[in-house]
Amino acid sequence: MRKRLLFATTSAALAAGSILLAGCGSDNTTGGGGGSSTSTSSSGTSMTTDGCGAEAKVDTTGCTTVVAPGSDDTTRLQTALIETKSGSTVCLCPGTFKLDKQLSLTVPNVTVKGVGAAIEDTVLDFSGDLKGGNDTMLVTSDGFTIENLWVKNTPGNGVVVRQADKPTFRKLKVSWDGGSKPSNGAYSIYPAECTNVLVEDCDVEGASDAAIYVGQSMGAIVRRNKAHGSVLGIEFENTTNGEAYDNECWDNTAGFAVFLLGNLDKKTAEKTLLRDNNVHDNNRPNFGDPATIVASVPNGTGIIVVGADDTEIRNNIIKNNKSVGVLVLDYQLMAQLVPGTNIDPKVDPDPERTSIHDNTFENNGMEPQSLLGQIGVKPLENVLWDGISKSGVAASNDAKLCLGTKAPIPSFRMFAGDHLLDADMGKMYHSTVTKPYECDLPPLPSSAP
Amino acid sequence: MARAPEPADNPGTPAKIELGELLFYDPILSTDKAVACVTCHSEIWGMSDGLALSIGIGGTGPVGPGREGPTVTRRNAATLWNVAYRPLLFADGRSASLEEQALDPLDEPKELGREPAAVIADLAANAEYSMLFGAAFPGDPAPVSVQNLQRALAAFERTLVTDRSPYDQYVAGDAGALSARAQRGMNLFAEVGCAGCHAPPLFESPRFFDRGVAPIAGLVDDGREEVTHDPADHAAFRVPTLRNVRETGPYFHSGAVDTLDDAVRHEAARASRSLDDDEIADIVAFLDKGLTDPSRSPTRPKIVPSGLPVPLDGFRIPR
Repeated sequence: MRKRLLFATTSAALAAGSILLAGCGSDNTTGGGGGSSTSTSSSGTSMTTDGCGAEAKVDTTGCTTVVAPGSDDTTRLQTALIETKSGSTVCLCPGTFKLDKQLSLTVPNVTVKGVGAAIEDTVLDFSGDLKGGNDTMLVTSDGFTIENLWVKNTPGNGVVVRQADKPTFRKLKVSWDGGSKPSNGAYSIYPAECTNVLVEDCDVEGASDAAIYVGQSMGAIVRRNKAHGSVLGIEFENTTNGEAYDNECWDNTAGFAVFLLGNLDKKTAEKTLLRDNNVHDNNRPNFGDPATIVASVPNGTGIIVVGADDTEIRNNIIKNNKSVGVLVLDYQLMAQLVPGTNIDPKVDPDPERTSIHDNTFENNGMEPQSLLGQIGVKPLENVLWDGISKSGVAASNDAKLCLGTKAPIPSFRMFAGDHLLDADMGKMYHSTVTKPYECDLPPLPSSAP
Repeated sequence: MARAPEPADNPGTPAKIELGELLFYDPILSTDKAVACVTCHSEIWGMSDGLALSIGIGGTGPVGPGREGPTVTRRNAATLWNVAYRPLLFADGRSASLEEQALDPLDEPKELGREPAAVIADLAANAEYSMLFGAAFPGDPAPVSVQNLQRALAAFERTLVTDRSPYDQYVAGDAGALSARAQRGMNLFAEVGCAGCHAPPLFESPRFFDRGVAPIAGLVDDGREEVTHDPADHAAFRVPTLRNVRETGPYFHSGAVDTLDDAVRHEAARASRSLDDDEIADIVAFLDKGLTDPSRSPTRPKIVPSGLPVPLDGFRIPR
């Protein structure tokens, strides 16, 4: 404690000149705009009150701060998030909060939750005229939990947690009143550069990039979510040890994406496990921003893997995706399709050791779209791989792809991606023989409790 | 929030700040009509650019690591976080005000590469900018001027305040705002002398030191000596802020050190006592998390008055 006092004193002395410490409230009063609409427990422990008003009939036990919708919701909610203390729970009463600016939170171990009986009871509506395309809510503190809320009409990204440990997104609904449109926010649930991410029981519809996105993170569990009406359903980007299970992805351009991309701090995407998911009917025309790499994902794709290593795809149901069930590509090939993307020399672009086994494939590839349509094969096989590897030998260890050894082995095509842009699409190099790929790779451990 | 200090003749009115923000993101300022202030000072990269040395006009690829081009600057781009509180600007401290500073990268051939007068001609010919300058500088008979361009940019930059980090919350009385490890790191930071120069609450100071960072082959950089012509200032550079340091790498004036961990090790070698790996990890934990607060990141406009595309930041741009 001695050192802490020393520091505080130093700060205070300097702050007299530069007032850097102003704005960090040290009392327990939350700035209230609407009289009874905001109440605070001074003890910071459990409190059962009519914080949301007696007529709302909600239990606010465990709430440190209670905020009800009313006038000037943005300011009151932001004030509550600034003045909250570590370990607090900020409760939002049923009703619609009309928000017109990005909210931010930097205090660790804070829970923000709706106290309504249903997810739809408390709504954060960003349909007001937000000035730019920034995030809707930006959290940079560890131990953040957001739950039981409906986030609507975000023009930029939805709930963004950056550079934090243990962010939890639970029972969030995210949607746009106008349905699936290019003007919708790109990502809805967006932990980036995080560790130990948990996304569960969420329902996202209409993101113009990925409905649920985990980027540049170490350790993530994504389970029991519904992702639909978006360009990508669930995306792991430059992430290590991500696991997705019991999710349903439908009506997206692609159901799942496991990406390694360049120009990011984290240079690897490894050990992603996709198991026991239902990936069906992902046939929505791509409505992503043409300037982004996601705009080149062919619609009708069940699962797309780009550049990632040690991806395991098992026990999923993959059906009614009209281009392909599983598409495995080299990052350089993707980058070729997007003008202006530079090849980051620090990433290894080849997807290595992809294991695809024990899935149920049904009715995929019946009407291959965009580039996959140009291959000219109908129906297209369930698993497609561009076969690009460092050694140039498709089945070699540096680029191994295994389809398991248990019947039925899914239909498969190695389509010579390095000749994809040739006039004849490099057809002479294609192969649909599965024998070299009937192999097993060590299973990834499930990190689920 | 704390109001950053500002000169009496350039109060930060909303109209002026909005104009400054648009100018900051608008490539209309550059010769190649592709580079803007944000190219080297992006909110996605800690108000810097994630590169060891910046790449100005003629560069290709998005902002951030991976950007390539013929015009490599001499120094690492300084973060603009809390720049309002910085009495001496640039790594060599050659400029004493944000207003004055703005012209430097503008005529610098490697950065924006334009004569101020040429920029003003372009801005004056743009109906939206004429209107915005008029609104920002009411009563000025010729509002679209070099001086007002400087003022608007400076007013915007003064909004880039970071003061809501876990450290600030801790100092304000929330003991849980810093983990035990970060608290140990904070104490060590004070104990071994880091805080003498990286002085709280700003975690910087307007002083200049040679920290023994290896010079880049082929680049002559005499640091502060270029300004003072005092040999004692040879290869000395301003003590930079450590706020949001997690996002502002690579580190040091030449960007010679990639990671925060290595930067702390470099400095720890000069601390008042030797530090073991655990202690270094504690200090890194404090800096890494304890001083992070991007909550007042600027709002990137989707479109700018020139109609030119706003520079992209790799794949991290909020899109």
